[in-house]
Amino acid sequence: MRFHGGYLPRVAGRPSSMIRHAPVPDQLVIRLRQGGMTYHGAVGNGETVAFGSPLAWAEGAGGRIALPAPVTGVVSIDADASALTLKVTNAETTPVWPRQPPERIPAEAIRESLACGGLWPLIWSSRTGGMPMLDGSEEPRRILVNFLATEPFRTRGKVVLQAHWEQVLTGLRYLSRLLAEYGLVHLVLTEPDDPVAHALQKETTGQVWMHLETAPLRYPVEHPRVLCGALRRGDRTVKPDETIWILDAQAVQAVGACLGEGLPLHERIVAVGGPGAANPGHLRVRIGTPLDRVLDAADLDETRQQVLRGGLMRGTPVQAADAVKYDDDAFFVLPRPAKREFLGFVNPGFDRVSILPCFASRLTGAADRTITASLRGERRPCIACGLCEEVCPRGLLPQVLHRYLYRDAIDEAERTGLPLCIGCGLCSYVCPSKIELRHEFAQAQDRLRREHEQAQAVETVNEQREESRQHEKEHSEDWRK
Amino acid sequence: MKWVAEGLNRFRPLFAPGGRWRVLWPIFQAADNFFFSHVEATEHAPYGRDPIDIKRYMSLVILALMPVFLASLYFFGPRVLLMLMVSYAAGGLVEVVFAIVRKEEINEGFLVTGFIFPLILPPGIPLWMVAVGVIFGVLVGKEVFGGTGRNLFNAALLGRCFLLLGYPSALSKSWVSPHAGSWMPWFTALPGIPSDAITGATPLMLAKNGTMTALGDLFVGQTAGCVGETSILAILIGGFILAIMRVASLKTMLGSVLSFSILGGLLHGVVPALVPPLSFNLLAGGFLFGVVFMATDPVTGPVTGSARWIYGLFIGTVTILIRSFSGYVEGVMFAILLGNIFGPLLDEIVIRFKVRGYVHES
Ligand code: SF4
Ligand code: SF4
Repeated sequence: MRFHGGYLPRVAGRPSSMIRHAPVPDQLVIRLRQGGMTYHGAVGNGETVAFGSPLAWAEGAGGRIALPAPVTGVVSIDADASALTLKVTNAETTPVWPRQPPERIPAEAIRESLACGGLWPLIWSSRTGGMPMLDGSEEPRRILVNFLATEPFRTRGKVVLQAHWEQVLTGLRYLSRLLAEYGLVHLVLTEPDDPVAHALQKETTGQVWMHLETAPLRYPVEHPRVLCGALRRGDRTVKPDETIWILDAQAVQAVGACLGEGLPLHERIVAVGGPGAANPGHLRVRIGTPLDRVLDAADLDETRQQVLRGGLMRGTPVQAADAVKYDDDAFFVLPRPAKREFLGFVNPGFDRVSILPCFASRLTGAADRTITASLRGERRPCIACGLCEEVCPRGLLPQVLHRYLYRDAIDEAERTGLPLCIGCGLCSYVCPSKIELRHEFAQAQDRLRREHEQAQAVETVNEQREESRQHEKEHSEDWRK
Repeated sequence: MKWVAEGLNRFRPLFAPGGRWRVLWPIFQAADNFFFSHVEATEHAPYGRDPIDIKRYMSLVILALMPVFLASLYFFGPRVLLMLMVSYAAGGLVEVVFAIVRKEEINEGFLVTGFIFPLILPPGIPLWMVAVGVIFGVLVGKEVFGGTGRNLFNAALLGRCFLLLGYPSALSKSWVSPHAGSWMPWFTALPGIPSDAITGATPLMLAKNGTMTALGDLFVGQTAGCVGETSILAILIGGFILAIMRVASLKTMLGSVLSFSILGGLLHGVVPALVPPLSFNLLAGGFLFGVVFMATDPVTGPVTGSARWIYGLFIGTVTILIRSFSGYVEGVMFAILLGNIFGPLLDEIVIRFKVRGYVHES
């Protein structure tokens, strides 16, 4: 695999690889908007649902996806119908489906179980740019399983792997059943001389359909589009129109639990990290657990801390009374900026880390301890330092795109690769002029999308009009005859 | 530090909206943010950011210029300090006025322009010319384009170009022999230069007449020349700082030196009468200073990485051509200004190439 750009900042607050158990609370909150889809409740107020039976459904990907109940409990629907509250009566997990061995189960049944088990949306397909089609029209040539999470504070694949070795291997076996003929499974790891990689290698020898791949530890190698690009660039046998599916370690583990043990998606391993976190580590939590049961009270102090969902580069602030979702894998805590530093620009900087080797932390190898939820500088015009170009994993020229968008030349930006931006956020992160490049590009992409849709709509209307005109003409000719 | 904060806070209401001096807010804001780092919460992901900012960036450039500045103080005396003060005062005034008129923040970029400007002038130049030059440079080179970050030309070089065209005799006759270490220069700190301190010519001029300056003197800086360009040793230290901190583009620096060396070596082999040996050519004059501190000005060069190679090669080539085959003894100034003009074009070429790759990718 071959990668462009990328950068991994050393920031304090890396979650330790220990996994703690968060007890199942008395009440779970399930939001009906998950992973960009809106679900519709399948149960009524006051009804009791059993573990694993569907709480809500959503139409998508040519089929139906369920949100399975993570516990047995009593449902109450919130006033604005945007969430369900589950009063836990029984937190036990019992198999919902009978187990079928991977050699005998039909692909059809696997897809069905994954959709009902709520983990179909955890699969990414290069064909759709989101989850794959459920109707069996997609048979991937390759499935990429990614054990890397380079974005600071995300759950690390290795932690999942160590805790759920068997389930991950089972998951791989089932997934391989969905492959097209002669399809391959690629496992993406860091270095080959790592003990976990060794163990995996031992496990997979003799299985020709499994390939081990290595990727450098630079954000954002785990991004599906980046992985696809790197695979295509590094391996010329990958055809451009090949369908590639990508899953992360936790998704494969969930597949293993779902098909091997009959357990639908009910818990997540989430990392809690960041320089503000009282207790950085990994937690095993039941889906729907309110955040105040996941994070320490000190982390949730609104005035001093900001809690964000996801990793450092793309994470967004959590809402009040938020709960763990079906696809969550990390939360992190950034302190809010407290005071202004005296003559900060001449500080030798033992406690801060920059992409430019211009702070003393370079000598000590220390991590960045002064990062806060602030810009750490003043907004300035672009000085063309070239850092954004250097880090961009898509090989784009963010400074040039910015110049085009500044002049409102959106068409030129489109031609210069704007649609390829994956919003990894590295360019905004490193920019010394504190330009909101990622945000700017996302907005421009939205605008382009809308314009294209409009253009398409106009086209269809025109076509329809043309058709009806034709129709009328024929009609009148008929009539004349 | 506490009293600074108190002082600033005492005056803040005067400059704040509604205060008596509210139009001067940019000045106050600049002082405020100079002493206490600006804090602004992020509103978009990524919510945490890299600690590098323009203030740090520009202070690193100033840090890299320090060896050159100290060397010039040593060789040409405290008059250099005077020139620097005039440059900062006059250029700063323009910057401040424009910040106030535009209601924008004062930009740190000026600190570098104002610092470099006296370093590329002959040490004996009248002080009022320093002021005129920097005002022209900042005004026409920068402000009419919309300030730092949007300018086409290197402001300091444009100011020098203006002086060279407007006052050619002052620019070509104000050379002072270096008085390393003696206390004599204190007297030359006065606006006028005693006529006995004026020397005939710089090493490049001498070379045109066949007199070669010793390489050792050139390296240390024991020669006549522009304030900052003489001491190659100091320039190399500065260049080293820029390179290890990755503040200046190594591509531009290497590209320039490479093309200059190859072409200079070749030309010396072909027409030794016109072109002095490469070692001399590299060390004499302002080539290295220009390459290290001015060609690498990120704003006025091309903005894409690959174009910076071509830009460097271009500057090296043009410098050696002007030096060898034109009436001018020094060519680096025109080379960089020409490079400034071609920068956007080079970018355009690189963008074309890249776009082809994108089409392939999607
Ligand atoms: S990182 Fe920021 S200042 Fe540097 S080139 Fe990119 S947009 Fe310009
Ligand atoms: S956000 Fe887009 S432009 Fe910026 S570095 Fe990431 S992919 Fe490149």
